[in-house]
Amino acid sequence: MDTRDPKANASKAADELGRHQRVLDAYLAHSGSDPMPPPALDAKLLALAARAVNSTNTVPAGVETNFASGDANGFRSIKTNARARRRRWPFALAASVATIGFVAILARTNFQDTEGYGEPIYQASKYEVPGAAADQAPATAPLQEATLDSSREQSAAASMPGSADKAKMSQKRTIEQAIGRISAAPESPAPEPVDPETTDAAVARPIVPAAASAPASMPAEESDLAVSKLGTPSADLQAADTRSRRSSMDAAPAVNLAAENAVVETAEAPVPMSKTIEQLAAAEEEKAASTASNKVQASQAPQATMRSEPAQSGASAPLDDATKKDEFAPDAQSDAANPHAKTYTAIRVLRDSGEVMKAGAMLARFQKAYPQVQLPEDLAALAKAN
Amino acid sequence: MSLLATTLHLYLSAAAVLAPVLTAASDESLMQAYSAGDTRAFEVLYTRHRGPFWRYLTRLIGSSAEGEELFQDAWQRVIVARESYVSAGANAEATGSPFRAWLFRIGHNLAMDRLRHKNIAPESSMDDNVLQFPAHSDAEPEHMSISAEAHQRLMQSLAELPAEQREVVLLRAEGELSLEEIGVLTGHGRETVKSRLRYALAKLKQSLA
Repeated sequence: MDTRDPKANASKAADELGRHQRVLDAYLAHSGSDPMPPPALDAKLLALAARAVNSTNTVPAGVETNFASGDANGFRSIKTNARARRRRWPFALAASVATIGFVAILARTNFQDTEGYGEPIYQASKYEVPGAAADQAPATAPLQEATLDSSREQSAAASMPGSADKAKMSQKRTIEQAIGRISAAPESPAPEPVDPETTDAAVARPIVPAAASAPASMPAEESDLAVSKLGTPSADLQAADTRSRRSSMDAAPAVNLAAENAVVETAEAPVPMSKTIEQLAAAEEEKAASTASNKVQASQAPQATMRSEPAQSGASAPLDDATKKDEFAPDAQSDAANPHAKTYTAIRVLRDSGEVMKAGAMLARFQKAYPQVQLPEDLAALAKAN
Repeated sequence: MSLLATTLHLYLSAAAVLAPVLTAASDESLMQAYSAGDTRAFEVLYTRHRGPFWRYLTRLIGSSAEGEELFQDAWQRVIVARESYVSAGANAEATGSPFRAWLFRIGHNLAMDRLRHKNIAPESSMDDNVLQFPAHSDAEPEHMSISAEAHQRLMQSLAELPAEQREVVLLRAEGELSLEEIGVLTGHGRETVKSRLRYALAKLKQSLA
């Protein structure tokens, strides 16, 4: 642009402005004037303007307003609502995703249960009494069948697509059928009512050793005798034990087995010290009594011998001598002509076997007991040699 | 009865006489009348500026929904600030601050606040409501298809303009503001506005060629 020529510059500027104006005219011609705000928005703005100027002014006919109070706050609320609608979608999306996830987790859990990966809802083995399976076989059989049927139905239901609810319903129906079978099944023989006294006695029998307990086949009287030989703390306990054994042998095998187990377990329990001392004291008393009775019998026997042989022993012979004489006393089967033949034979056997000292000692005791007896020649020579 | 008929006749006559007067009145006088309580003056003022102001906001933002919000906000501010406008701009026409420039300044400030709040540049593409072509019932189908295609290219070129150039074009075309008014409104000098306008119109001309 030539700045030295104002006319030329003005002409160029006019041409440029003209070109711009033509573009603007084209813009206006192409853009048109129809893009306008919505009529509802026009009505709201006009109503707002009317109420803002004079509260007594009425809203023009045909104008719908959402203004509750009629002031500018109503307009603000409309704008805020429009803004809130646009900003609400992220929260709606998050809520939808959370809901879908929760439902998916719930469906996954149910699917695991029906497929067997998770813990089954019902397990018959949980409700069986340990150790009583043999006795309650008729009662548990429907449960086992129910479990098998339930697993079959569950596997069949799980193989069908989208049938978690069906599997649950079939499982519930199977459980109901199992309950019906249990109620309809023949009742097993009722166990013999347990006597509390017997049970307590069987459990509280601690002093019977396991090795000394009578076998199950032993008669009741023998078992009682065996127990009495070992000694029991009281007669009541012994009687209770007897009753327990009889009841256990008459009862069902499972119950008998349980009783035997109870006996073994209680026999291995530690023995109370007080009862052991009492038993030892009683045994000592019995032993002392038996020893005293033996001494009395022994003291009576030499006297009879001395009466039968008054010439051989004095009236005042001591008790030891009588005991020694009794060692070589002839028995009823001895020969009358030679009543000490057995003694002589015993001494000769000792001498011949090389135990000359023992033979000499025995011979010396014999001579001391029977000094008037004439020894045979060989034994007399042995006596002289000693 | 005769009194009521006479009153109604006088009212209708006055309305028939005042309607052309209001329509021909300037924006500033209409604003003064509205501030005095004449809602009819506001209706005339609103009807006069609603189209250009609507197109300016929607095409500047690039979204009809956000443009609608800005449109409502701007007119609410006009309603609330009617008395302050009248007291401060009693001689608005004399000082060169007409109502149109004031209205578009409100819209410009709201649009810049919105863009600054969103921390994004103005939309480089416009939604369908902004791009919609006016339907003329008397237009021939062939002419309508050609015009629709030219309109589509023009709107696409306008959306692809830088924000400063786009705003200058819209203020010049829709607001019919002078370069000085645009400079005052945007805070730039006249030459800057003129340069931006020249570049923008050159690009739009290429799209129309």
